[in-house]
Amino acid sequence: MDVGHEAILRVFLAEAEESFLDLEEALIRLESYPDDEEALGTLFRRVHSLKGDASSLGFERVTAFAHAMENVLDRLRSHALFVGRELVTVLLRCIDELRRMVPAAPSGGDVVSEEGKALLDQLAAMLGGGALDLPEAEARQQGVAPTYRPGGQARTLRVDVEKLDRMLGLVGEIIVARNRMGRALASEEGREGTREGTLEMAREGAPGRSEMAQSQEETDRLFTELRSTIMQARMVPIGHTFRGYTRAVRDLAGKAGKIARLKIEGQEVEVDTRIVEQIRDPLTHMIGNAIGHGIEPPAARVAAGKDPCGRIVLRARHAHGAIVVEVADDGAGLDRGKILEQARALGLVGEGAEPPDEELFQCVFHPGFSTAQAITTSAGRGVGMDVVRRNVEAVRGSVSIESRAREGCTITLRLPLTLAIIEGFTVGVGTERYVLPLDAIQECIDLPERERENCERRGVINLRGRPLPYLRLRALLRVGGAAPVRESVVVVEHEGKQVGLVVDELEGKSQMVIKPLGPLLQGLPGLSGSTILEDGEVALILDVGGVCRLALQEGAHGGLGPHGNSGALGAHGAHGALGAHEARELPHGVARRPRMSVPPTGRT
Amino acid sequence: MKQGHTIEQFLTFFVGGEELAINILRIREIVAYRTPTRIPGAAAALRGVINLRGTVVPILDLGIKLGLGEHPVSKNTCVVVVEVILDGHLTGVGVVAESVGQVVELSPGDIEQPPALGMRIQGNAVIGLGKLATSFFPILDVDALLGHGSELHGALGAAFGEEHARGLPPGGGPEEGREATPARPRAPHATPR
Repeated sequence: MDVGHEAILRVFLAEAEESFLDLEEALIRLESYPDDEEALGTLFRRVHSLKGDASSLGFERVTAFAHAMENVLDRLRSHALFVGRELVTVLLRCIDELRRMVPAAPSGGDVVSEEGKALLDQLAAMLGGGALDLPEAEARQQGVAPTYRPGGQARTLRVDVEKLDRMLGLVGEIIVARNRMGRALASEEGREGTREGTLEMAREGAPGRSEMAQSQEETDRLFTELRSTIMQARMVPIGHTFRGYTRAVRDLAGKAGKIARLKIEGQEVEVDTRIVEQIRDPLTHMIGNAIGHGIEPPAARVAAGKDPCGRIVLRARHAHGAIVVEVADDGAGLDRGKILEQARALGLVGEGAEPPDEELFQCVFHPGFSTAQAITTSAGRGVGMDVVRRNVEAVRGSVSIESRAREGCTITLRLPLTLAIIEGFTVGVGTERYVLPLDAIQECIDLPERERENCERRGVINLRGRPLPYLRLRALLRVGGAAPVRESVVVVEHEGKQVGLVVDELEGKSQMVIKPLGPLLQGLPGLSGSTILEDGEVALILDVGGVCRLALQEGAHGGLGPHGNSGALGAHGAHGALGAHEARELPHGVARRPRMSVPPTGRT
Repeated sequence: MKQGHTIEQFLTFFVGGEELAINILRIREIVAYRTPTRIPGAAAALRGVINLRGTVVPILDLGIKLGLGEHPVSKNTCVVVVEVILDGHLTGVGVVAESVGQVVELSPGDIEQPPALGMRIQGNAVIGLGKLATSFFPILDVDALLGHGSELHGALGAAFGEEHARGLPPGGGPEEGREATPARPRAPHATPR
């Protein structure tokens, strides 16, 4: 009984939270479109079923509160009352009150606060004076029969994400064990312990062995399928997260003396639950920025020939095996003048330099960058953008910014489909092996012979007529031993810039289960996690963003020879002033500049 | 103090020739030593990570961490996997031991407060001295050693690449274990649980 009751409570709380989101969305829609019968219907149904559920669980105070709201909604439905800004505000605040009351209800702490009582009075006033003292009997009567939700709903189950992670981990382990067995079988045949060995053995060996190899292949297929099924279970539609901002946009805009509405697109796009958690803060930052700085006050908008009500669009879509989330506003766009001024003040851009927009706007990702003249609750565009980038890169994503003066600003997040699995490319450096995310790799080439003599940490090679700065992973990661005769360059791309990573060996790609490094090792620059290779050894996954930043920043330190410093004094000086730690965080656009001044000729 | 009369079990093991002990309730398992995967940029006391049945477990060198000196790997070298709560999750951390000693049963009367002087291991990593017939051995406080507030947690990032070595907070190096004064709910000399 107790366990059952617990479970019912959990479902009730989860559904109530869902209801609140629906209610807010419907209310805000109703504010813009007072005749929307559907929104009104949703409002009424949601409040009614919340009341019913609460009543069946014996939460009388929640029941009574919801009942008071229902009365007002009923009047709206019969057109005895009309939707206005004030009414919507009161009802939204009623939802806040319910949000507070509902979780406290199971422990009996769901008392109506002073503010809640004031809200009840306001509701009563709207109904035409009559006090809203509900006879509790009435509430109870309505809730005698527990609400029954008709069938037809998909059968669902709430599962702890950690359980799914564990399942995924186990599948990975089984694959490791399976590979070990494959190798054992192969080496028994006196062959090399490779996968090819197993297959060859199947062709030539005794029938018993061939059968074994066959069933090995069969299980391989099954495991792959099992893995992708578990992966799918981790995916949730992003719409739920997006909808939470409908209310935030309205309220934040109201506080800033502006009007803005949120438009949501692609809410059915499914994203890994972990990624959803990670982008919640960035979304809040970006929406706060869009309202605080992007959207103009209504008068200014009208003067500019725009709708007085600003529009912010949250959009999700699939693109090239990744998920793209955009936050777009139709405001004034980034203020180039202010950003340039601030960038110069921070020494990110040299005096007199006029970098192109694309490069300049990268500066807003610099920690501490802000053009806000006053600190407000919604902060300034730029405040927290470094946090946005850090959070996004922590899930192996990237962020870019696009802005047009007077037309608005769009910030684009590119996120991986999942955090659980990576399409990885294994490289060898000395006796160590590292994994690079395959989607960051553009091509692999041999390190030109000339460069082999250059045993420096870094250099530049000519990649089809363009200068490609490269970095020896051996040096960066401080791997011991001497480099082999032949080295390879893995060309990676990060936010539109190319960098070459020099490694000893290219070992090939495969799907890998990502293992977090755990709290003791979190936050090491250049590393994004680890994985267990087919032979059971742990390999580290390199964070291409972090490694590229290290490489590019080192380029700015004059590592490119005598040409490197010309025209780059601004950036160079900044590094000196900021010290080692901050320098690591410098945006690419800036750090890249010295590299661009290297003549592409004469380096190949 | 409520459980003051219960006899508790401790596992002893050797690091840098010193016999140390950990409450057996905090030990998950003991596995054979295998070369860990090195983590570039991590503190020197962290030898790397190993795959423990699908979980990536960090391996800690107490010899470096406690300043007891390094010891070559031999056939007796093993990893004692200890449980610590980090960020709200029960996490396994491996501790390299030159060899495992014995399991001893101690009643509260057999545990002395660590003296302020004369100890090879400084600081609050030691919660008591276990008494055996002929010798004493330090009992380690796993939480102070590995948990929140120990300088292994969080302060590692800066050592990546040569120019970042300067970014290390002063005194944050792994060798300076006694510098750390983590905020802990219990007094360091409290009776073991």
